[in-house]
Amino acid sequence: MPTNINFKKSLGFVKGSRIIISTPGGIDPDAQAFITATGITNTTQKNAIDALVIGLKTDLLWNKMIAVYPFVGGTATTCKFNLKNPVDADAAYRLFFFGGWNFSNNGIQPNGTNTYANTFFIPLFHWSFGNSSISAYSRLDNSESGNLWGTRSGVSSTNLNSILNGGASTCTHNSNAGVFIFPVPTTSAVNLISSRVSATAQIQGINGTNASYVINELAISPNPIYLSAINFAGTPSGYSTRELAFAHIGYGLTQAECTLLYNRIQTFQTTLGRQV
Amino acid sequence: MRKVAIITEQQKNLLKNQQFMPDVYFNPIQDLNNNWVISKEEIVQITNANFNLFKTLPLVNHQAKIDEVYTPPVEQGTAPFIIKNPTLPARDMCASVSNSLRISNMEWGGSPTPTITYSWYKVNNWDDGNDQEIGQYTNTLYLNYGLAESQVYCLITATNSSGIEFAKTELVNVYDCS
Repeated sequence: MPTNINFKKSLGFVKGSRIIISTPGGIDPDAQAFITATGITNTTQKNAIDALVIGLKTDLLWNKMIAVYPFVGGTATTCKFNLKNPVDADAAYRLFFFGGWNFSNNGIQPNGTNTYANTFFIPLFHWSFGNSSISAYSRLDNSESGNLWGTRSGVSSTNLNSILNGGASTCTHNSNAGVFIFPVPTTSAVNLISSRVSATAQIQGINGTNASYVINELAISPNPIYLSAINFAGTPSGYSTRELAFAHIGYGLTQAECTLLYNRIQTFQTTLGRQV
Repeated sequence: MRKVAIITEQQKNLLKNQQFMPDVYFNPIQDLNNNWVISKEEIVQITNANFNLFKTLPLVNHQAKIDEVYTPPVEQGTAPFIIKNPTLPARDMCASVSNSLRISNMEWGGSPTPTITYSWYKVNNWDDGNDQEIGQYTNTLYLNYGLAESQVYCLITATNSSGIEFAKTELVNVYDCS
């Protein structure tokens, strides 16, 4: 029987709002898309992905993410996909792995000799001053000067990289000068976040503890970001040996948002039994 | 020591843009002597039969090129400095479990952001000096009865990688509510 119910009015729908349709008890559609793309069948991993997506949405972080790499499933094929857009294409920031990587349920393990992952994400095209973030979750505590992530052009002011090496741990974020990370990390098995919500300061977060550093943002790299090395004007260099269990690229996160993100990442790792 | 296999220039060209296992590409690099090499991890994980020949190559210790990557200079930061002095809501207050002193308006500068800690003290007028630490370490002091008939203040410590700085509140007279 036809009705005259105005769907939008009856739901109080107003311009600019969104209706999220989900199946009660079902998996989040974005999580399901990733699970389908990767072919993951392990129930614990599927539930962890679902909880991660829901958590990021609850904390209003989901829309600040551009690429999220959960590194689950134990193969290059399952680890290459971007949770935000799980399409097998460069434009979706699906990873290309180069060199002697090892893959396991703990994440992705570079060899420090010739390994890097190309994200195909070009900061200059998507980031603007005072609005960018990047992170990685390292599972290996060692001493080295390899890069967790990195890119730059031939001009030093475009430098973006991160090195965890005790008292010489530094982060540079779209500038020709970096900052020492404080407090000094006692281990390199940490979640490290670098963010800018200001062109005059950068935020560094280690395991949910954040600090803001006064340092000007100068330029943004026109070259794709590499993981586990720096893309030095098109050539990988500064290879790392640190096993990674998560990485993200996104828009600027405040200190409070960095803590929220860390908490979600850590819950995800704990569910998978690979937290540090 | 990391292990690699030395390959020829021709082999390097052959491996370019080729996958040795699904979704992972060879990445030949040059060593200290400009030899082209691939890593042991690539060789042992070859599943593409086209490259089985490489499994027979002898492994040698890798002699890495000296990294010529530009290392950005590092800013040293600035030690904590006070921008706005701490203030308390009153100069006199009576000791009651429902009364408290909360520090407000305080603002610090410094890079990286200083870590702030609080320590409250009771002034011991009778011994001319040795103030007694109350044992409350937040920005709020709860005025329990034991603080009656005393003066209290808070010592604030700001710390970052570049230094340490201190600030003190004004003294507050705490009297007996009865």
